[in-house]
Amino acid sequence: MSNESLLQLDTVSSGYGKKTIIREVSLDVPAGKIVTLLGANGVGKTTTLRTITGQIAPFAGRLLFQGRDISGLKPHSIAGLGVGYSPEGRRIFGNLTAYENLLVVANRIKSKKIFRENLQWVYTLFPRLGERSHQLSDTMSGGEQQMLAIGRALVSKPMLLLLDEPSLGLAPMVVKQIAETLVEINQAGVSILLVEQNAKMALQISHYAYVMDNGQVIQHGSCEELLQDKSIADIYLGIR
Amino acid sequence: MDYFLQQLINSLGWGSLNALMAAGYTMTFGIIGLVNFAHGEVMMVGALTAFWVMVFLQLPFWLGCLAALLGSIVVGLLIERIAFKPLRGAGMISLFITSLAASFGIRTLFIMLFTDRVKPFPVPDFLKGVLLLGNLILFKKTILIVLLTLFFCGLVIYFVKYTKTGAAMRAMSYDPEIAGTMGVPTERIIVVVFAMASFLAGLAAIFWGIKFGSVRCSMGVIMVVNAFIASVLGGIGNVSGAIVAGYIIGIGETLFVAYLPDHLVGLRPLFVWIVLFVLLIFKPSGLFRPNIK
Repeated sequence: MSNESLLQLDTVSSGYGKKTIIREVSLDVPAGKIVTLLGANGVGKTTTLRTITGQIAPFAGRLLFQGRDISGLKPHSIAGLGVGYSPEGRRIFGNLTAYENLLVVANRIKSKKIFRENLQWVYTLFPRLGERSHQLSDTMSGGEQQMLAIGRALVSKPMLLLLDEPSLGLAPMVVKQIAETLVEINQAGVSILLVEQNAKMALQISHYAYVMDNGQVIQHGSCEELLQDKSIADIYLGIR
Repeated sequence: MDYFLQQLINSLGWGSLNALMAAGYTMTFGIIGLVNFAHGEVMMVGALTAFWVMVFLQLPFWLGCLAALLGSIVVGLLIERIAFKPLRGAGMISLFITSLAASFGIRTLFIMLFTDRVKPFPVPDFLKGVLLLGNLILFKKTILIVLLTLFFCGLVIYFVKYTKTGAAMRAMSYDPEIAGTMGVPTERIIVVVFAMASFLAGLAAIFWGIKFGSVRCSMGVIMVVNAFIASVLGGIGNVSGAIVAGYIIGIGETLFVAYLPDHLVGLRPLFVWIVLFVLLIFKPSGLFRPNIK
């Protein structure tokens, strides 16, 4: 990978309490690219993302964002550097309307004008959010809630977007729609680290992929390379 | 009928006190899951500060009011910093016990130092006197208390409903962890919430002084029970719900006592517990939508 790297994990180990979940994970998200992190359920993909966002502190290793070590920073400081996060299970604020969910993020945006511009951009990417802006988000459909979770991660115009299983529990049509929007977001200059079990969708839109198993990165390469590696494709990606 | 209307009017002052305390109580309850028994002491310290400033230092009424607000805010933030902040993420039971300790600790310390005797709260002349409305008597102080309560409650509701800080507060009540990852400076928001809640408690302290003409070190006890029950009744974390519920409880309690035979007036505190039990049986989530998951 020749491009300048935006996010770099250098032999990061992390977990909960004393229990190590991920061991010496190294990965690299170059600026402007979509990188995907694949693997079965429970192999440490979500833990990797939660370590990047600062929800859990790494036991060892370094996390570099734009060359700056971010391990040990508070979640809101990491977010403030330009990291948008769409968590597993969406985790939208169900007691707020769609608009208010986005307004929460305005707490880290300097001016009202920039927030309004970003809001307009999010509504252009997901017109449904504009239509539903004053609906209580708890009452929105699963697809709309996923769009809201992604929109909420984007309304600060981050440099890096972290997505945890955006396709989970959604109809194939909605998954396709979200995948297309992710490409559009990436073309607008946002780098993406995508965590997915839906390898087919992920590999279609990504530039580069890592495969995790049992808390470690076991393989990485361009999407074509991974698809040609039969053992990987069979065992870990479940597509043939 | 006149008796009922008169009692209703009289109850509005007490209702306002309950509404102010419940609004602050529900904010801290929602945002860090805190059953804050010490909220009554936040009010008491404000009231005592005003007493010192007005009676010992002989300073004017408005400086006493300012001192009450400052006293409440300072003690509210100190309790947060010393008692609750070290327990962030420790769960509801730990916070519950700590707030009980803070409440007992502060109250007992104040009673040891200053006794629990009733202390005069000088009320200026313009707040004395009544207006007559047909057969009904309107106390000027009640009018002021109700108007100011509605004004400040309106401000707080606007703040919570329409500003980005208010949205962040409600988001934190729902999911503090994710709110942090969205760039919300969670610790700063908690300080803002405690400052606002303590400000409202300081207002309640002033209004208590004006209403009863005196304050004392144990005044927070009844208030905090009512505030707790009102915040459950109004839906936890729901500020406008808590204000409405505060008025319901304040007005209900006054009317309850007004219709009790004289020798049973001691049963006054029973009212809020009846409300709580009925609520827990029929609508444990409260009358309005709670702001927590």
